[in-house]
Amino acid sequence: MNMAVELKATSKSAHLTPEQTEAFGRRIEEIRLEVMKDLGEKDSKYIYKVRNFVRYTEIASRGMLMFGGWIPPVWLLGTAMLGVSKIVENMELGHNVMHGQFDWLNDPTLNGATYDWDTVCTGEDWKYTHNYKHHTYTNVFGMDHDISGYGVMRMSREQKWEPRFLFNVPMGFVLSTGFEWLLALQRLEMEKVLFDGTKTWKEVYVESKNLRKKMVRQFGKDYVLFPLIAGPMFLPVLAGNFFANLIRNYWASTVIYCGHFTEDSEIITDNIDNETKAEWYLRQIRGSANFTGGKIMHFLSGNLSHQIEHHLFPDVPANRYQEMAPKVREVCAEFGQQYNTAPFGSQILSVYKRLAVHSLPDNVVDRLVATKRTFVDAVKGMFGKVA
Amino acid sequence: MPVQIEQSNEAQPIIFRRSQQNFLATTTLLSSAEQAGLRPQHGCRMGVCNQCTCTKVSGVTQNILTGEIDDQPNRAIKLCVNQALSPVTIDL
Repeated sequence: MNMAVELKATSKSAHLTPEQTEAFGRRIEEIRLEVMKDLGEKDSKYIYKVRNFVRYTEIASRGMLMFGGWIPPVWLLGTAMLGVSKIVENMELGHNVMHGQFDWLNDPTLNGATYDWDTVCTGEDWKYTHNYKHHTYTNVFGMDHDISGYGVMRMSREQKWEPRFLFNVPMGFVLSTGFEWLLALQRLEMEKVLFDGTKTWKEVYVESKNLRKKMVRQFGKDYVLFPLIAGPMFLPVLAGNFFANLIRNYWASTVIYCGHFTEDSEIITDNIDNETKAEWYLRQIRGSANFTGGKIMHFLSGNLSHQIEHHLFPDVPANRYQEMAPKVREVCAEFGQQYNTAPFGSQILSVYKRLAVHSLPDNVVDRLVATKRTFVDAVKGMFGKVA
Repeated sequence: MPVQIEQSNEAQPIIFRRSQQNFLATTTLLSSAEQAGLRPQHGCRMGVCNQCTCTKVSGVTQNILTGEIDDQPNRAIKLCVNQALSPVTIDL
């Protein structure tokens, strides 16, 4: 069956016939091939520059905290810089390298299969939950754990309403605060133990073997080793590391929420067993959202400001998404497909609006919408009389 | 959705070096290995997720999505979208 041509009534994209869908897929494929043939020194230089940025900012910021942590402005600068260093390591270096975007360099230190990043989540778990589950089954209800609000938020009417979803909006902030832990624990699917009883704590314990090792390493590095070697600067270093991790958590989660949680990101409920590659492309576009911004914004978001391009081409080096975006947008326009993009602020507002709407039972939302409509009509009527 | 090919030109002998396994490949390296009773790590089966990527020690392989032929030793390849054009040794 051609799932990608099935559309919800609310969709802002045009219906495509199977032939149109295949033509669309070929055009997207051309954009990819053009870039893949052009990969070379420019891209290699770029990724090494990113890695040097991560290294030097980390050394500088940890140095500042260690030697000048008692001077408030130095502490602030060191903490902020360490936060930025971690952001770039996670988003523009680690995330992209683990997608295998730079495997062609044949550099074992930038190999997607072995790279591990500066966060609690293990590279191996990440490649399962993110690279495999999320990227293959993007926005497919019941298959993509992300779009079910990571099991703890309600993102669409497909999820049954439960009283716990009244806390949808505060939950969004809570997940942001502990975002690295959310990613780390995602594969264990502990909501299955807590809410539906389809899993036991024992299974969770067995599955978390590698994660426990990584937890000790990450915790030991930021909260034991670096504070201890700082001697008298123990407390400023400890606090600096804590807040740097927090800065990274807030930024990374906010960028990631914008990728698939905006109001127009469609949930797919069809069977996708016989999906073609072209239909897969179409689904990626309907389920993802970009945000606009300058070069610094693209860099700090690990080019996830180009979420649509990232989902079409997860193994194309992310520094190329900027040049691919206008071409993808053009093809979308030609085939009447919505290319979801807006400034960062409006996208994140749209995410929290979606969370708020789905925190209430559907019938309550419907009644509120109806009441609002009658109210607006009544006001319009009144002013109509006055005029 | 998984990438499938009917049959390659010829069956090629494949060696998984670390696990000391030999088998003949007629389809993608991943499906051929599975047909031979091996279970290499994998995910999407369509060249997206990078979970089955491993090092090809020697031999010629072709990426069936792009048609790209790779004859260089010690290169990272995805088992799910590559087929062998010559005898191939893999570091698995």
